[in-house]
Amino acid sequence: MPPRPLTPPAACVRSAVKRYGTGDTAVTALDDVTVWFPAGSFTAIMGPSGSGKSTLMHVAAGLDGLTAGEVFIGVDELGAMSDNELTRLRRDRLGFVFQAFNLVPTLSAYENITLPIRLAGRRIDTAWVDELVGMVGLTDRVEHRPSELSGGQQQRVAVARALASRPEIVFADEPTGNLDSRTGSEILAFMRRAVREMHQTIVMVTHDPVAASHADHVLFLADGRIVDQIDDPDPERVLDRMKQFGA
Amino acid sequence: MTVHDNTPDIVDRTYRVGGAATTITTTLRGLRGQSRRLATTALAVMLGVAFTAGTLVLTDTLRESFDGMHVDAHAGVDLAVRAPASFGDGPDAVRDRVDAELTAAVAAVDGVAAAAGRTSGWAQLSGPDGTLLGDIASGVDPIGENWIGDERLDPWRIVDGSPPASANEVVIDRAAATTLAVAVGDPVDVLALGGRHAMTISGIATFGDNDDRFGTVTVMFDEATAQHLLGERGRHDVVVVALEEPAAADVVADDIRRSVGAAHEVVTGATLVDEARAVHLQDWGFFDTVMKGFAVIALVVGGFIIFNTFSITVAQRTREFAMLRAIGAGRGQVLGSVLTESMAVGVLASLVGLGGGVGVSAGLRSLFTVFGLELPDGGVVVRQGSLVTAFAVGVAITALSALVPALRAARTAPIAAMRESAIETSTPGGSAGSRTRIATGSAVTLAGAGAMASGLAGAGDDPIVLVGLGGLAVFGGVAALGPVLARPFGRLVGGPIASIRGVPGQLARDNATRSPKRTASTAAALMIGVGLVGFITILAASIKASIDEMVTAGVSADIVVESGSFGFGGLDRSLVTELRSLPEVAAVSGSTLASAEIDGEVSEIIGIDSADYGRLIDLGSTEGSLAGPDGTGLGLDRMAVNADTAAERGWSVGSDVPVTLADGAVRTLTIGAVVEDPYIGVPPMVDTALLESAGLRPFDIQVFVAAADGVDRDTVLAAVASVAERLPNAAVYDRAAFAEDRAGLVDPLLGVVYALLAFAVLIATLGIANTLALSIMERTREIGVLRAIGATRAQVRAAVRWESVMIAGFGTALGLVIGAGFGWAVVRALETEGITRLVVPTVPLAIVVAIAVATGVGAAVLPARRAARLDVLEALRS
Ligand SMILES: Nc1ncnc2c1ncn2[C@@H]1O[C@H](COP(=O)(O)OP(=O)(O)OP(=O)(O)O)[C@@H](O)[C@H]1O
Ligand SMILES: [Mg+2]
Repeated sequence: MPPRPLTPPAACVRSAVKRYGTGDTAVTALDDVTVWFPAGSFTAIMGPSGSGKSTLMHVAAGLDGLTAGEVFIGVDELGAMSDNELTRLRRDRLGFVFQAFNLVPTLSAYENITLPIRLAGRRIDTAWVDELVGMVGLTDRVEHRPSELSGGQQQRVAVARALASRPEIVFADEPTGNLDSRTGSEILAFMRRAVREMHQTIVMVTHDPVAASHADHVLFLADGRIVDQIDDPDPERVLDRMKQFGA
Repeated sequence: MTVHDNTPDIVDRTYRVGGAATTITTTLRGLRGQSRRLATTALAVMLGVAFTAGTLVLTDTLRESFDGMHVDAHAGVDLAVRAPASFGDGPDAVRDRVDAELTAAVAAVDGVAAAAGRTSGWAQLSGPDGTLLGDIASGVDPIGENWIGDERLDPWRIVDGSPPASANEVVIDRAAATTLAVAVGDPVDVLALGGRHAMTISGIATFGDNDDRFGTVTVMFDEATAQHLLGERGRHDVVVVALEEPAAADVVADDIRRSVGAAHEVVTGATLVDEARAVHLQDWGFFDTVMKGFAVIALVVGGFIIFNTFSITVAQRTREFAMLRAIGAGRGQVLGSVLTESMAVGVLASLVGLGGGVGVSAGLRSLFTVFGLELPDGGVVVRQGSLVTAFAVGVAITALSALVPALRAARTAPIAAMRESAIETSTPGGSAGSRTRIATGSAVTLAGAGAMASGLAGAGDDPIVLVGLGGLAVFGGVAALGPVLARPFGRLVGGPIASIRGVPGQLARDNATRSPKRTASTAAALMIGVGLVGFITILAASIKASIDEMVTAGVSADIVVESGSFGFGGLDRSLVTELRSLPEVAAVSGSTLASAEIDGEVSEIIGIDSADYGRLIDLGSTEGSLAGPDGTGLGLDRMAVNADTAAERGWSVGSDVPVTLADGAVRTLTIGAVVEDPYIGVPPMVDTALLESAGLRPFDIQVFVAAADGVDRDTVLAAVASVAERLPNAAVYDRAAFAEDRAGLVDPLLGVVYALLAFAVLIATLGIANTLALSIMERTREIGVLRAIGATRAQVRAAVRWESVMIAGFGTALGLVIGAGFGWAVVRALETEGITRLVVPTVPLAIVVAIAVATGVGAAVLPARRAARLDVLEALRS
């Protein structure tokens, strides 16, 4: 169990239980999980397949409801929110990066990046978007469609999109899972920079100890429970711990 | 062929294609799997087949009841004795009446069981409150007859009261009695020769078991009164004969011929039935054509949708097919499985459609009634041949529509299985594919336009068919060009939508242009409906404007009294005499239709009051004179023709022309006037007195009146109205109102045509809904992403709705262009028929656009709801 942080958390999950199905076939994906994501920190979540990592991300991001427990983004509890309120929350206060197929194929890279802002009907902060585009190294490719970009470029677009609306927290579920290690570490370096330079809060699921070592904290999940935490990780310690939990 | 035991089910399935039984089970399994996406295909097939079957059943039913009507009308009549044709032949023959004494002579012949004279004509019932029965414009004929009262000769039976026993008694059919709420002993007015007659109902009759004779209104008089009010005193139309031994008809017919002399014609009852049927078929031929035309339209529109569904599902299953090909399935096997699937859908849906056909035929029937066109009642007739036709057409259309997608499926390269996205997105513009597309599309369009043009110019044996096929080719050609046009259209219309509707608008535009082929073939179905609606709208407006112009320019009379009779009955001639005596009136002429054989050619002629006619109708410059040198008109020995006819037949003023009228006598008439006739297009004209002298007792269809000098329109209108009041069938108009009334004749038919085309639009709407639903299925993941990053349900719905509106808008735009083209071409082609104005009515066309766009919104309702309700996580996982 991680210690309660001194700074107010960007997001917090309390006594979360998530159960799928009923009776004999019931699966408990989250089993009384309590966790804080401190503002301005980079958290990696690790664990064996089926341990509940994606489920944790989904409930924390308001994409799915809990069987029991509470989720807070800032000071707002998600349980009482309507679908529209949750949608607005995701649009205005959260960012997402999925493993693949993050983008809308009919829109250009630039349009994809600015999509949440435009969905909200807000003004696009062009200077900020241009800066982001520069940071992810896509300045000369912004007019291209996703189908004209490589997988790594597409993921960079997805990360830029997640950051474009300056969300309170970004959730990334295996963002480098489909990429070769060099492309993957570029993405990770970029996320790391966002945390360091812009005080962005990022939560990332990964299976890769090297990727996890970019984070400030690494949480270990097994059978739907938080089983361990490493602060200021390095790859060897992470790998070590992974072996311990059979990941 | 090897069967691998460990292959997945899908492989197993295709490997076994070839054994008929397993093919069917595997296909059925495949169908169940995608029942949702095939549901709309099936619906389209069903609707198309139902419409085809419905029209066929309705035409069968009508034909059967017409046939029954003619058979029953002559039930019991074994032979008929009548005057020989004065001119014309078969059903078109015009003949004189026969003397009443003939009946007795015929009855005296051995073997004749009964003989009676029959006289029939126009007689219209008017109830105590002035209700007129029998509106010819709606197809309800008001018929008068003599009461025969011999069950051997006709099916009329008195059910209440007694036969007419005096000149002021009538028997009416039970339906009429019910409508007018009158009973035996009640007074009733009858319009016939001589004007309005006050009568008493002596009896109420049924026609066999029916309350009326196939939807007509019948009033029956005693023999002498019938002759007086319907025909000619002392004469019958025909003598009908029942035989003691019907099998001996030939022998008795010869005996009758010997006995009554060669001046008469003896025919069998069957001949009367055949002639009546032939006349009817001429009248209803257009109806058959119209109904078949709509069945074809429904099927073509349905075909587009079927084609579309199979194209999309094949595209979505590219990976599946590629996988099969990769592991060794042959092209033929893939082709076979897709075709079998389509056949299964075609067969099942067509069967259901046949059942719906009977319902559709009932619906169509009430549709006609709603628009004021009465069809005769009669039990529904379902002919096996019609069912087989509708079924075969449904299955064939389905199979044909699936052929191209099936071939595409068979051509799937195995490598396609390895590609990430199975969704076909064609590259924008410029590719060789689109160049051949432009070439073929344009060629087909031009060829179709050419065929239409030559058809309109009257080329070939069957110009209508040429026009129809040409029109179809134009639709096909433009549909082929559709994918090329979709992107420019998307940019044109999508830009504003995107800027007004924000992100959903942009998504809608991009999705609508994402697969131009799909958008185009979806829009094509709507294009056909809108194209035809647009065409009909322009044509109708042009016809109305032309009629209006023709009447306004060609009629110089101030007042027109209209009978609404279209030539069967009308205004008694006494009206003209009475109007002439009014001080407010300067000139009066009636106008009646007849036919004559003029110098060997049968022609329609009109009877006029020729002394005044030239002052009432603008006939342009005239050689000779209608009124004659002494102002008494054409008299009994002269006629007038228009310049076109004169030129064609080589006549000029002073030419002598042999003319035969109904009485069979050949008169030599001198051409008294040749008129320029710039507006109306009048047939040859004779004085009505000449027709009367030939034994015809004409009614005026219209009576034209000019006001005396210094009398204003309202005064003369009131004066004419007060005289015409005694004739309940007279409608008194000033010139403008008359023009409007004439133009309004187009309306009932127009209503029916619109209602039928609405059906094509409905099918097209289903097609749009289908395409959207299928597209949304393949974009599930994308919608999940949108929802995850913050698109609200309303925004997702809006995107689908606007995409739908864009597709509908595209179809509408293409349709309107084609419709305008057709309208222009047909109106130009009809210029010689008097359609001289081309009118593009903005308000009705704007309504068409509004309806079409609303169609898009309607089509989007369910797909948009489904898209908005997608569970975000499930969508992301897909
Ligand atoms: N929609 C669902 N219905 C039923 N069970 C589910 C559902 N989603 C997840 N589960 C189950 O919940 C458990 C946790 O799943 P989750 O996807 O969170 O695992 P994960 O840690 O992300 O695994 P991986 O590393 O393979 O992505 C698993 O046992 C999974 O089978
Ligand atoms: Mg996961």
